Amino acid sequence: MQQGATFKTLAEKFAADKTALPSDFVSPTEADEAATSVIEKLHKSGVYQFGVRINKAGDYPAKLRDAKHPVELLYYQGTWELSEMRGLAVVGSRKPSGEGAKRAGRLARELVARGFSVVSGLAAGIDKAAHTAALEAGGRTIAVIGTPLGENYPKENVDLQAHIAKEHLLVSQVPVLRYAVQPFQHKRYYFPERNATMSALTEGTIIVEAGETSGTLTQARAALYQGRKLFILESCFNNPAITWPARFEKEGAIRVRDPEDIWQALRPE
Amino acid sequence: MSFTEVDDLIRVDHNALEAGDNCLFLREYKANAGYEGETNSLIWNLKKKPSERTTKGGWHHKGRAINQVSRELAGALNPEWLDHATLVPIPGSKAVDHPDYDDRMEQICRGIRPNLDVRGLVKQTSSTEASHAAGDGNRASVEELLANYQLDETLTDPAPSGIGIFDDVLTVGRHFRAMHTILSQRFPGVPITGIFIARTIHPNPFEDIDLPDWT
Repeated sequence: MQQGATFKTLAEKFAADKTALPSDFVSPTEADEAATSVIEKLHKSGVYQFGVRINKAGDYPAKLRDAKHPVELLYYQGTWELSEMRGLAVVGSRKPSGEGAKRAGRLARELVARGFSVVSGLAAGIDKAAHTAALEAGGRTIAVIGTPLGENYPKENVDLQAHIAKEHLLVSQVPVLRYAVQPFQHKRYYFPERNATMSALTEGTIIVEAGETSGTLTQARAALYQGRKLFILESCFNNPAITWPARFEKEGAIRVRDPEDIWQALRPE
Repeated sequence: MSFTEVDDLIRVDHNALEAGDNCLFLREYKANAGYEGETNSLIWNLKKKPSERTTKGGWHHKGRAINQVSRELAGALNPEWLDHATLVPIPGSKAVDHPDYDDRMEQICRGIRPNLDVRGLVKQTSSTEASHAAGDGNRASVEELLANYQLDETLTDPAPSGIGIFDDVLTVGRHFRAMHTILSQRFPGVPITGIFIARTIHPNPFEDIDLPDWT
């Protein structure tokens, strides 16, 4: 990704030229050099096995095109087929209440029991609780991360990321070379971008717990825009400190009093 | 869906291929992953054996898979190239008189669109074990494949001006290499492109490694 480009400007570029491929915008030499540098960089970070999915090539998930600024290229490690399973995202605060983390775990187990993959963002808090519970329940989990492959945030999830990359599915849209030269404060913008991709990859997003300014709300907006189901746990509605649950409910979000509310709203098998 | 070209980065995964070989593929087939996933399931359905038509379920999936692949190829191939190209399906591992004789690649080519120049220019003289069913040590070498291939001289007129060799899965690339050798000898200078539905990827490169005979 070139200096100054954003996922939005790139999406606009590709929308204007229906047949374009990422390498069409630079010379073949530049494209080759970039590919070689990416591979070198990933090898240095210990990533020897990875795959790419490019829009218009085979195995690119058509569902990603529902995003407002769909990604043209993404990297992955692990079992790509998990992206073809039915899946729901379980997301929320990085600093949840004890009860919130438990709820995330219960939901993840419920999803596993129904044969759904548990998709989350590998952040601290709710994300970690959801991934971990899915693994403990013997289910499948997908992490859509806000760093390039081979990089971790937060550090506490290093082992979890390595395990998901090996045995499950780790997805990153973050440009490897651009990321390497960006100042730290700019790198955090990849997290909300990946929320939109995570939403597009799934049939719906379940918000367990989130503050008024949480990045999770990016995913809520993306889910509604993309025509995905947005589920909000009843406990969020009872929190006097936040106004977003009622706002999103008016826009079509589904209030979850009981897990059955989720299954009722999804299309049958 | 567009083709991906087998470039230098990918060619190392298919070690029978040579530097100048021009090969294209649509999807990625994962080794040792059974029929899990869209592409693997598609390929498994394509490879269903004719002899198991009545003994195993799901035969109808084969016809559906053939149609799907024809459609995907039709959407990806340059129509102007199709106007003049000769489409050569790689012969199946079983000769015509075998109960498992399978002309799926020919059916796929003919399904791309009407009035194409589809020619089974290369025939297999005797049946062999299918590559995907043979153990790694038992896979035929390019030379062995060549010894078993025969050019059908009754089909060589008119001489092709461009050739597409069609196969379902690119693994090591030996069948393509053998086909390329026999066709380029008979039609020197005619451009040849390998067109594959999928290439094989190995999730763990140290498992199921395809070791040469001398190891």
